[in-house]
Amino acid sequence: MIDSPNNSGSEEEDKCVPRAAVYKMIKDCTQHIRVSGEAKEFFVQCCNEFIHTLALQANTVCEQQTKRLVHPDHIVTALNNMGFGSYKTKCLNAMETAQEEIAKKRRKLHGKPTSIYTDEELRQKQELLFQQAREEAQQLEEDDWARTQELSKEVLRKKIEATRTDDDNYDD
Amino acid sequence: MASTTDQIKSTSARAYQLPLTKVKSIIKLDNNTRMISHDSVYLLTLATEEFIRMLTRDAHSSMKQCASKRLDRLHIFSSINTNPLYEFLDGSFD
Repeated sequence: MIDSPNNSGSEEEDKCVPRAAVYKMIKDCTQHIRVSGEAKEFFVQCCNEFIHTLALQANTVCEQQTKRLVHPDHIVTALNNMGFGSYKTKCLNAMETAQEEIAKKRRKLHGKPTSIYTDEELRQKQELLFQQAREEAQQLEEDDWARTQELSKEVLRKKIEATRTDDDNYDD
Repeated sequence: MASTTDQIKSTSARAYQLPLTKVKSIIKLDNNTRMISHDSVYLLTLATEEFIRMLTRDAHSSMKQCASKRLDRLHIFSSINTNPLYEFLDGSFD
């Protein structure tokens, strides 16, 4: 456990925002501008510092309201206290949009599959398919029965022939 | 919670680029922090992304004022010293 947030140890260095993500955001804002390596590193440090400060502020707001869990409202109040109130609208909108998209995806996944047919039409289609399956099964049975009949007739015919031949061979 | 995170990530790339789990672990470094809800971590992450964009824009302005061709640490320093919003960053770095 680290005693103070300003302790520089390897554990704290690991707890750092991913540099690549920060570089990408900087790049999006400064497309054709070269940014020095030192500047990039400094952006990362500022980023960490912002997170610490905002979290601390939000924690204080939470304590003042004698709540046990830091709530988004506390983050908003903290932003206002720090002077970053202008972030509020954009961030809340982005959060709302993301949550709506998730809810939509969940509905799609767990909800009824959409169909162009009504329930009644679907039932009728199903009944038709059952009827077709029954008819096919019956036809197969009949074909099977006819084949069996043919085979039996053939066996009987051969038996009769065999008997006739035996009779002919008998000497009286 | 992990699946929600993945879902959030996949929804809007520009609105969310810093990983929530990393941000949460940075928050947890402070011993006195209370439990923080998932939505709060998400909102904090969005605010941090907005902060990076703002600081970058300000540093870029500093760079243009100096007629430099490359954005350097000094330009960020200059923005920090000029804008009172960045006061909390004062004294945090050498």
